Formats: sequence, C-alpha cells, structure tokens
Amino acid sequence: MFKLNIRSYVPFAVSEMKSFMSYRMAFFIYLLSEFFMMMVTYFLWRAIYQSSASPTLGGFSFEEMTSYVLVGFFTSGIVFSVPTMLISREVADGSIAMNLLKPISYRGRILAISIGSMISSGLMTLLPFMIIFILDGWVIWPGFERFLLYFVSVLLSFLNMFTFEFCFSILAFYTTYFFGLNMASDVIIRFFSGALIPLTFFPEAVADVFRLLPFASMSYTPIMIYLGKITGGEMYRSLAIQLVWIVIFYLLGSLLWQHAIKRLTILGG
Amino acid sequence: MGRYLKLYKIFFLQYMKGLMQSKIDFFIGFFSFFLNQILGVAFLYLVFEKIPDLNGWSFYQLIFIYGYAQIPRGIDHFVTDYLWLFARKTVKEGSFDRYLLRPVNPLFQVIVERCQPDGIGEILVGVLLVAYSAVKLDLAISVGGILLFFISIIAGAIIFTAVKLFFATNAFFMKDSYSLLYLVHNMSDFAKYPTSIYAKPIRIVLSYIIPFAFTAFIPASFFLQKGNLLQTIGMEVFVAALSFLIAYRYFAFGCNKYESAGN
Repeated sequence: MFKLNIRSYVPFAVSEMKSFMSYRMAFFIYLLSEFFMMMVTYFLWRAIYQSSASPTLGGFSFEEMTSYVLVGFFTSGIVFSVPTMLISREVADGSIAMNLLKPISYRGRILAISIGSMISSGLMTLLPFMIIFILDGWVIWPGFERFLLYFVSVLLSFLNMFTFEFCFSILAFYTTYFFGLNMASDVIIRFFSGALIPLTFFPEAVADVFRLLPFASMSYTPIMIYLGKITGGEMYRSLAIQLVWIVIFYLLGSLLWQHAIKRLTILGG
Repeated sequence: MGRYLKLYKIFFLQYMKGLMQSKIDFFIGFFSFFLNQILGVAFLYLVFEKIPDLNGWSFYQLIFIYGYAQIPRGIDHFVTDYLWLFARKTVKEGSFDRYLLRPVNPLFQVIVERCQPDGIGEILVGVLLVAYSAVKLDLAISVGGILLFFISIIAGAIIFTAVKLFFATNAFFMKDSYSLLYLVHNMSDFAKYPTSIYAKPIRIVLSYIIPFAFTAFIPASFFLQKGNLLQTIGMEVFVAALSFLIAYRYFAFGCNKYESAGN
C-alpha cells in the first residue's frame, strides 16, 4: 500500500534509542533482576550436577550447561527486547489512531522501534557482558565462524519473536486485559523455547515436536548453534525452520491485521 | 479495628462487583499465574528423571517447598497489589494528598484501593502442591500442624508485604520506585528452592537482609522434619513482626516527608 522507504522509518529506531538512554536506570535494574533469575538457574543446575552420578545430563556437561545458561541470558536479552506491550498500550489509550493516520506502515513503524530497542538494550548493553563472560572463560568461545552463524540465527530469532508478537498483540483489539495474556505467552515462550531447560531433557518424541514449533526458533536454535550442538545439515535445517516461521507469522499478521483494524473503535475525539 | 474491618468489607464487595463484570479478565490472570507455577514444577520433574535427589532433597520435598513459597506470595499479591501502583505513580502524580485528608490510616487506604484476584491462581497452585506432596511424603497431619501452617503462611505473607512496603516507600524520596521494587520482589524466586544450593553471600542476603528464605524454605523445613519449631516458624514470626515494624516506620517517616506535586 505504501512504498517501502527505509529512510522514513529510521527516526523511529533512533528515537527509541534516545528514550532508552534517558530511562537507562530502569533498564539496568531490569537487567539486574534478569541476572538474579539467571543466578537462580545457575545454582540450581550446579546442585543438580553435584547430585548426579553421571557427568553429563541431557547431553550437556556442567561447563556446557553454564554456557547454555549464560548464552541464553544474552540471547533472550536480544530476542525479548521486542516491546510486546507497545501495541496494546496504543490500543488502550487510543494513540493508535494518530499512528494509523501517518502515511507509513504501522507494522514497519513497530519493527523500527523494536530494532531501536534491540540495538540499545541488546547490543549496546548485553554485548559487553557477553565479552566479559567469554574472556573470563565462563562461556566457551565457539570460534569466529560459529559465532557469526549464531549471530545470524539470533537475528532470525528476533524477527521470529517480532512477527509472532505482532500477531499476538492483535488480541489487544479484542480484550482489555492484555497484561495477563502477555504474561501467559511469556511463560509459554520461555518454557518451550528451551530458555528454562534444554529441549534435550524432554522425552525424544516430545522434543522432536518442540523443535519444529516456533518457540524453539526463538532461543533454542541460536544457543545450540553457539554451543556447536547442532552443526552441518541439521543446522541449516534449523535456520530454514526459523525462516519459515518468520514468513508464516508475517502473512498471518497481515491477515489478522486486516480483520482487527476494521473493528477498532476509539473513544472520544 | 472494627471500623477498619467494616471499611475493608465495603471496598472488597465493591471490587468484587467490578470483577464480576470482567470474568474473562479474571480467568486470564488466574490462568497465566497458574501456568507459570505448573511449568516450574515441570522443570523439576524433567530434571528428576535424571537424578535421584538434589542436595539430599527428594522430588516431593522440593515440590513441597516450591508450593509453600507460592502461598504467602499469593496472599500478599491478592491483598496489597496496589503498592506496585503506589510505587509507580501515587507520589509522582501528587495523588497521595487525598489519603492524608481522610481520617483513616493512609497505608490502609492505599491497600484497599485494589485487590488482585490473580493471586488466587498462585494460592491455589501452592495449596495443591503442598497437599499433594504432603500425601506423597506421608507427612503426619495434625490439628497443631495445620494451625502452625496457617500461622506460618500468614507470617510469610507479612514478610512479603513488609519488603514490598519498604521498597515502595522509597517513592517518597525518589518519586518512582517501581523498578527498584521489581528488582527486590523478583528475588523471591530464590526462595522457591532450598537455600542450601546457593553460595554463601546469597544465603546471607536471603536470611538477614531481604528475608525471603523465611517465607518458604525455613518454615517448610520444619514440616519436612529438618528443623526445630523455634528456629523455623518461631524465627519466621519474629522476622515478620520485625520487618513489618521497620517497613511501617519507614512508611510513616515517608508520609511526613511527603510534599505534594502541583500548586
């Protein structure tokens, strides 16, 4: 409908980065609390490995599991930087009306904001953490090639999350309590994406199904690529699955959007 | 006291009327908190497929502690949820004025602003897990034990409220203490597992500074026959009273320092 002109979207990303800089204290506190949650997971795994008779569990040694948890922390930092509550807030307070009037694609604008948020919170804040983890030897260094592949996969995860969240946010047009729904979806994503426990811990048949689900594409795939647990043909297949989900959710998003936008009512004016 | 109970009842019924108008919202909130806890248990279940026990704790003992942790947290969530909004905006927007004008305790007024039915999801999961694991563990159930359990979860809820109140009160001095409150409240995640798995500094923080260990692991270990009454539930009640006293004094101090926004 509108000509895709990248230049008109850049300011949205830039302004998101600027607002991040002015509220960075809140973000650091948020980061610290994510860090605490990661420590809970770390100590839990430490106790689990200490109690285990065999040195590997679900195909992971303790060192690999530590890397899994830390790389997972970094990965979800990037992937979860998609501002999930943004659309629902705009629907709730009616500001969506003004944004729909602008001669740009609404989804394009949200994507630009998400990218701004990803660059500032993910890359600028978390990357230094990651480098410290690697230099300290807590996280294994996978070699340049694998790191690059990991990075590609993380970006796909980010797009996966973005297209998924866009579809999901459309529910905000139909319910007033999006907060609760969002929380449920957050919990489901964290569990089925392997952010809590690697999918290899599930029974084989179940794990095979989970690997195909979009949630695995959101965090499990990049982490496993980083750790060198999936390589070669399997790796390319996983990357392809990520791509397929992006396309599916992109198309689904367009379809749902068409429907929702017709039923939008804004109070007042 | 009687007057406060009467007031609370009026606010509560009013709130329930609003709630009945949005049953779907209630269901969504209930479901999402329920799901959150169930998946936490699924995690433990998957792990216990691979190991016989965790630092000497069996699967059902861990479930008992995990469920125990949800109950005080859920009670506090149900009753004092407005403290989150207080931390975020009451002082910043200057709307604390009206609480000071009415002849009722300001803290009471803040708390009755809202009750949060999402907390019921947590309480329900907690009770189910505790009951289920108690049966599996063959714990002796007596009237005295149940009474102690009630005292313990109430004391635990008071600890939660005290921690929340203390950090929300910072809003008087920093205008918006929401993210600080979020950070501290999230530390209650540590309390879902035996504190013995953590490094020493974390254990010290959880027992003496932000005493979440007293809301779950320490009293639960009494019922799991790994501690004596005075050192577990006795201490918990003491910690609850002390921390609430500190938090309330701090809140009262904040009220005195409060300066309104606006003209």
